[in-house]
Amino acid sequence: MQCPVRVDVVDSVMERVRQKELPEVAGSSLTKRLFTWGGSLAAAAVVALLLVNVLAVKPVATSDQQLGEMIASLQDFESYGAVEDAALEPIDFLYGEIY
Amino acid sequence: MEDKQIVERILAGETELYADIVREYQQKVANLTYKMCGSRLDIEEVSQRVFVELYTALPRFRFQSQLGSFIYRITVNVVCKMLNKAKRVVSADELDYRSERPSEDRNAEQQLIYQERINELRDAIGRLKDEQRTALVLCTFEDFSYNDIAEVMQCSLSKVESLIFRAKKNLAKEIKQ
Repeated sequence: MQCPVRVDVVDSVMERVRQKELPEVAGSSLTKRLFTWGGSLAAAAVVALLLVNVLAVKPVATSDQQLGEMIASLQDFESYGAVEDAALEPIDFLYGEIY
Repeated sequence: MEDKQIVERILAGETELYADIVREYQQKVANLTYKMCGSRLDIEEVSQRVFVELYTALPRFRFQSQLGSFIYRITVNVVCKMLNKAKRVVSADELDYRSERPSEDRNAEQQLIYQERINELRDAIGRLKDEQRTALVLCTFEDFSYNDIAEVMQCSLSKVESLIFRAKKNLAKEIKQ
């Protein structure tokens, strides 16, 4: 079921587009620099936090049984799995489902 | 030329190449708009808005999905916005879902009953909530997989399943009343 009208909006769209300035891609050089610096600082902060956590963490004494239970619970967890693609259903087939 | 190359060149300054994208996708946008709201909205106006919004959004597009999906997403958003603005439910007359099933296997009476039921179904589709109707239209009439629908509607797979399930349930409920 297709639109009965053949649409041609190329000219009208291009006219409007020519009047617009395309927004810059991920910023100008200044913004880029800010992103780069900001990104570096954020990355450094994350690394520092991780290091602190890693050094501060004490190994938990886990028995073999506890480990086994953890592994079993992970194995029990079923992944969502792929959803079947919806079959192509024109209204007739939808009719069949509903009625 | 692939979509990605065209977009890169447009962003590099060759803006006239944008016409190629419009030419390639304009009828698909029109078809989707028509299926979502029939003649309720001016299809050319919707198509124009979609492509102008797409142009503005191009720098943000990272090709993590197909350009077509991105365009469909914008189309869905534009149609929903415009329908909300008009604040009207899409009426059955505006949704022209014709039955494609050949009628040779039905006699005249059966054909009449069948056509009445198709009309009922049409009415009921028009009364669905926008989200449910969108998901149902994309699934039923656009041959979209649930993954594609999730990408277009920017929601989870489980939400798509739920929307389609509820749409069909609501249709069945409406028809039985």
